[in-house]
Formats: sequence, structure tokens, C-alpha cells
Amino acid sequence: MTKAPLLSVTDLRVALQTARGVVEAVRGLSFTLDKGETLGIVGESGCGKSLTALALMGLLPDGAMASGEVLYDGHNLLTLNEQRLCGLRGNRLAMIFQEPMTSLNPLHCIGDQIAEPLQQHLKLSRRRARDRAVDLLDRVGIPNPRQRLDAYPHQMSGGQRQRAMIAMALACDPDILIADEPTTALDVTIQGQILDLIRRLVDDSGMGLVLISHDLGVIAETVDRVLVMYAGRAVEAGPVREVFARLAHPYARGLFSAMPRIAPGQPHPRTPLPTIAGIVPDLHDLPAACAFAERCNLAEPRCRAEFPPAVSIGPAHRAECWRTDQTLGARASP
Amino acid sequence: MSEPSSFWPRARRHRSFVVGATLTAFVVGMALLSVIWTPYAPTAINIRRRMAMPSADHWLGTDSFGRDVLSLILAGAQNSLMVGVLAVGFGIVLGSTLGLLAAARRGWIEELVMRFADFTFAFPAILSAIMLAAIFGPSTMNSVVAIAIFNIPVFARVVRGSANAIWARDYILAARSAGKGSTRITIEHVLPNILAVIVVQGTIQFALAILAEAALSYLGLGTQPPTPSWGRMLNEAQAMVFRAPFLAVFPGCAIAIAVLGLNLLGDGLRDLTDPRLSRQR
Repeated sequence: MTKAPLLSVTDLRVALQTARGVVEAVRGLSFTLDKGETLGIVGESGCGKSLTALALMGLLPDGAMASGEVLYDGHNLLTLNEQRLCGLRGNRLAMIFQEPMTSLNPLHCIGDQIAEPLQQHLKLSRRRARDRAVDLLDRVGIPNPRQRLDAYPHQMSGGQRQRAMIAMALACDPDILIADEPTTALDVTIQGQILDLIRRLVDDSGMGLVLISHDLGVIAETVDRVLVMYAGRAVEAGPVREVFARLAHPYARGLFSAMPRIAPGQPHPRTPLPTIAGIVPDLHDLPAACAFAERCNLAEPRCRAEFPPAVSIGPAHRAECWRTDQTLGARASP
Repeated sequence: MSEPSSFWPRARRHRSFVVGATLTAFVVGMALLSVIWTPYAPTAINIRRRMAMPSADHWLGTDSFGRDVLSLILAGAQNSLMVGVLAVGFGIVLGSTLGLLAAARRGWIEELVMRFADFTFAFPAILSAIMLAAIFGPSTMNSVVAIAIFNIPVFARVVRGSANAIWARDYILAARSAGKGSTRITIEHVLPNILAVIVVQGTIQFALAILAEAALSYLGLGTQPPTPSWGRMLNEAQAMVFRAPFLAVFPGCAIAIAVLGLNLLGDGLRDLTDPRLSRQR
């Protein structure tokens, strides 16, 4: 008998109300997350990554509707009332955002912003919450944490602010941390430090991590399992090494080859960077079959006629594609 | 948001802020002074010295009942400021609450609040005030109520608009992801960030309230005799504007100084609290 996973998402759908009617931005996403496990969600802009994260937190914008099931601790988060959700957010479920420059309130010092969730969820006194905030700032690697408690966001650098955001998210020792592009707004050296920090904190605390990124490098370094999203569906999912080694879905393959490679000591390649032809399909007008078919160089008539099956590539590794025989036959390009 | 540390140095160089603040301080000073001292009792009648020209005894002359005009103007400042503070305070508290509620709850509550605002704006303010005075009788308090009612939708709209903009900020999403409810977010994050907007609008509404009070008193619907009021002084001066024009000039100047001062102060505050403008300096 297997233990129930920490988080179990089944057939998650997010519908958006737009001027041109209702569109589905997330179309039947399913995954599970165990304690201490790290899951990456990768895909280009507009594929539904961020909406998935917001749906998990119950923070979808006005006009967006989630359906399906997000099971956490025996409750479906999608049907939980707002009051219960407020009790979970920041407490059991925490989130860090893309923009550290704008995700902190400019009017409050960071000590108060970190102490807030402790006072609210754990009912600590202001004094004890501030002591905990010092520990947290120390844990996320901010020097002189006691002095920095009274700093305002504008007095800190981007990397420091992101560390403060992480401290806020970790304040109540959450079970699940959702990180939506946590390093996109930071420069590369800081990016590495922040990812190391997240990775270390996840290892220490045993929480589950959902890391959302468009950066394959970030995903490869940080997570155990990956979902490759395209037009609201997970077109390929599996252990990160397997997925990157085999790239069973043509979209995953395209993403991978569109990544610039610079090797030290080697001359800069004179060939243009490969791109995926075409544009992301209009969600108002999605093909009934494979959403990637129009941009796929392996597409055949069947791809435009029938929805592709989930093909099992290996243990816990599957891809939604008719042409996996082709992609797997020809070995993944280096 | 401007930081508190950089506010005063910039404010001192801002011309309309300095002029506005000085004029406003002058009017407030008159009102405060009148509480403890006026040259004569403002309501003391002296028939033998009716309509005296300005002189060493009566700096601004006397009116048709021989009352000292300077004393009346000083005491009238009290009345104008009281009406302004009460009417605008009432408008700020109720209007901001409605505006914040609309922004926090959205949906039908927002619709309801905004349609109420439209409804109130559809009535000409002065006509409605006349209606209120006709129903409840003319008095200072009724003019406060009438002016306050027209301040509520002004603040409701301004606050809702600014609050909606704040609700769209990333740090609100971050606060929500930390498990804060909408009431808490409104008090901790939204209100402090729109305080400047409320203060600026409040200053401008204050000027309008003083003007409205003067207008109502001029029409005989506001402050009743013998309480000194700038608007009523204008009304009384009207009958003999050719014999004693200064009787109309002085209360007129008082109203103009108060309204101009508050408007300049409001403009100055708006410039100084607008982060886009402050960065250019």
C-alpha cells in the first residue's frame, strides 16, 4: 500500500473569461508531489505555467475559473472556502514570485513583512515573531539579519529582496513551496545562489517544491521531475534526467535545441540559434488534435486529426505524441 | 510613494505648496485667534458707529449694525473651517470606506457603490442642498450634512480607483499568498498606499466645502444669525454695495484666501506625493 502523495492534482483546468469568449488556458493537467520532492514545470510564455501555480494557491485572477481536483491533506483546494484557504496560504502552502522588486510592500520594513505570517498563523507575539524573522533572514543568507530587520525594500538589492521573499514564504515551515520564476528577474550569478538556496532549504525541511521556469538550465539544476507544458497540457513528463536525455516530445526537443550553448575555450558557433517555427497557438482557436502539430516538423495527418495518446517512454516517463517512434528512433541531438 | 525623509526639503522649494500652506495657516490662525481674542465681541451691535470706514479703531470698518468687521471675519473663519472639517471628515470616512469595500469585494458590491456615486452626482449639489434646507430647516448642521453627502461619492470614486490600482500590485498577490484576508490587506497594504491621494483630494474638497458653505449661507440656507459667517456677511453687504463696498470686499477676500490657499496646498501636495514627479526633481 502506497502512502497518499502530499499534493495530488487531477485533471486541472483553468478557464479564462475573455472579450472573445471563454478559453481554456490549462487543459487537464495531472501530477503528484511527494514530501521532499521537487517538480519543475517548464514551457514558454502563455503555456499556463503561472496560472497553474495560482490555481494551486487559490489566487486566480478575476474571471478565471479552475476545475478538476487539487487534493492536499484530504481537501480539494479548489472547493475550499476563502477563510480555510487563508489559513493554508502562507502557512502550509507558500509561494515566491518572479519580481522581488515589486513583491514587497514599499511602505513596511522587511522584518515586519516576514514576522506577519508568524503572528497570523502561529499566533506568535510580535517580539517572538521578530526573533524568528532574524533566524529566517540568517537561514536565507542575509548578513547582519538583526540590523536588516528594519530595512525597507528600497534599501535592498534584488537578490536580497528575493532572499527576504523566500524567508517570508518559509516563515511557517510550509509543506509545499511554489516558486514561480523565482530567478528570472535576477542576474545570472545571483540566480545560481538563489537556486542553491532553494534547493538546500527543500533538502533541509523536506517540503515539496513546485518550480516554474522557462529556463531549462534552471530546471535541470534544481528539480527531480519535470513537466513540459505546451498550450495548457503537460506534453511530456518524467524524471528530469530521463526527459532531458530522451526528449520524446518534439516540443521538448525544440525547446532544448533553442537553448544557447557556450562552451569555454571553444569558438562561438557561427550558426544561428535554432528556433521553433511558428507561434504559440491562439487559445481561442486550438486544434482539436495535437496543439503542437502546426509547428512540428514531424507532424503527419494523424497528428492533426486525433488527439495523441500518452505514450509511456520509461518508468514514470510519458509523452503525448503520435511520433515518439521517430523522436526516440533518432537519438536526441546533443 | 515619497519617502518621509525627502518630503520637507522638496516641499520647501515647491512654490504653490509654500504659498498654499502659508495662506491656509493664515486662515487657521485667524480661526484659532478668534477663539481666544477678537478686537470686539463679533456680535456686539453699535448703532452709532454704523458703516464706519476702516480706521484705527475698526481696522476693517463696521457693518450696517455697527459690528466690527474684523471681529466678524475672524469668527467667521471658525465657522467656515468647522463646516469644512466636519463635512469633509464625514465624506472621507464614509466615502473611503465605500471605495475600499468596492475595491476589495468587486462584483455586485462595487457596482452598487459606483451606481450610488453616479446617482448622487446626477443631482446638482446646490439644488439638493436647498431641498435639504427646505425639509430640515436652514442651519449650520444641515449645511454640513448637505455638503458631506456630496463629498461621499467623490471620495468613494477616488479611493476605489486608487485602491484598484494597488490591488493589482505584486505585493498584494504576495500578501494574499501569505494567507492574509481582504480586510487585513485593505488596512495594512491598500490604505497606507492611498493615504496621499485621500489627503490631496481632502484638501481640495475642503476648499469646495468652504465655498459651498459660503454659498448656502449667502442664500440664507446655512449658518443663521447671529453666528458670524462669511457667506452671510456677503449677503448683508449686497444691499449697500454702493454705499459701503468694503463690506463686500473683506468677506469676499477671506473666502478667496481660504479657497485659494487650500487649492494651492492641494496641488502642491499632489505634486509632492506623486512619485513620478518627485523623481524628476
